[in-house]
Amino acid sequence: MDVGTSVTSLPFALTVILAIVSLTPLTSAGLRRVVLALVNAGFLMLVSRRAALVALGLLLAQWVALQVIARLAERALRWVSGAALLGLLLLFVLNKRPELAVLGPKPLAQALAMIGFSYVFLRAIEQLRHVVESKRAPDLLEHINFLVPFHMLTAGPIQSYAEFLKQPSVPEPLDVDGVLWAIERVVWGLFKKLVLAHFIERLFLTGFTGTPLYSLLEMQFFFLWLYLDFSAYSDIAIGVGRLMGVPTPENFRAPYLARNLVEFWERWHISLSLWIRRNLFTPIQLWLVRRWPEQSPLLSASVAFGVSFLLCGLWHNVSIRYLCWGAMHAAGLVVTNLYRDRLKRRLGAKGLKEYLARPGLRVVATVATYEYVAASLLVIARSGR
Amino acid sequence: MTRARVFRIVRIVLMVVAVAAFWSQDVAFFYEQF
Repeated sequence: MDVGTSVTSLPFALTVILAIVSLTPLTSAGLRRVVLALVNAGFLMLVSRRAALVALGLLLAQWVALQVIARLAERALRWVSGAALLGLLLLFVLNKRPELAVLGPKPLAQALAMIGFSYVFLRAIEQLRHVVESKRAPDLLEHINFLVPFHMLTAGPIQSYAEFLKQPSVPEPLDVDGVLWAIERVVWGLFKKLVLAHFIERLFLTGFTGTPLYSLLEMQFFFLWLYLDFSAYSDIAIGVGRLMGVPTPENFRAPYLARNLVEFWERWHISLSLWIRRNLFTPIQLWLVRRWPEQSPLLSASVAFGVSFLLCGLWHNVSIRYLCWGAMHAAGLVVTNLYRDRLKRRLGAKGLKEYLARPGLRVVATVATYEYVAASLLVIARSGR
Repeated sequence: MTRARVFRIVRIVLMVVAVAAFWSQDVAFFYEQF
């Protein structure tokens, strides 16, 4: 994560204050959109003027491309939207492997790093899909406010484009309890990141340089550290979003209580799993069912899980390690799905419900899920975070 | 002021104090104990 755009950086703190002060009194929808876009662009300028200009230039080029795409006929639309997708993929690879910057100017790689392009990339893909399907192009303010919301830039969450379009243009004013709730959420995030996660890191994490036995113990703490650090970003973003009146989706819901991988992904980085469901899993599954209607739905779901999570691994980082991490999660999801189907056929819906309600089974399943996810993190963390 | 609101304010203050203490590295000596 880039230090300049981090939620603990000075530019972030200044932008939060500026955003709250400037947005709170506004009751005009149009003016709010303009000010929010200025705040979002201003944040980038505050971090690095040069990189911000490049990033804003990229956003402008992308916006022009979307205006063209929305006006194209079916045949040309396929080619141009395919080219736009390819362009986004190239930028993504450049962002993940900056050593490839020889292919493009260095400021471009710097700008991509600054805006946290991984998340912008996901939003851009969803926006492109929406424009292709609806033939409705975004206006420039909407484009900036959706793609580079300053409080969700570093580590998400990823708001869905449909939700973004549906959100009220002027939010309900916050009462005292609402303000306190939001402040507590921000402070809780800071506490998790700067105290709890920091504490665990200093005391227990060695970068997996200890003995194999200690690595097993460290694996447990690494998973805990990751949750505290990562969910802290979401807490801060959600709290800041509430104070500014910008809806920000929840991203975590007690992930350690998950009893299998399907449930884990309904509780961990929720906005990413929903993005995967909307943009990868469901389209892949639908395509498979239409192409091979006689195939079992379980097979198409398994293939869709496999492709989605291999790509999810590559999204985290373009490397073999992350591909293995994605494969582990894909395998876990497929096995969970097949096992659940088998149990349902053997026990019936009522029998399955009774079986799953057994407390002992729940404990074993929850611990096994924790260990499986922790082991998958070991695959990627051994080479350093 | 309701009890829930008071508890929330107390939680906020306590967490701010802890964050400030850790952030300013004033508790660096704490690590030395381990």
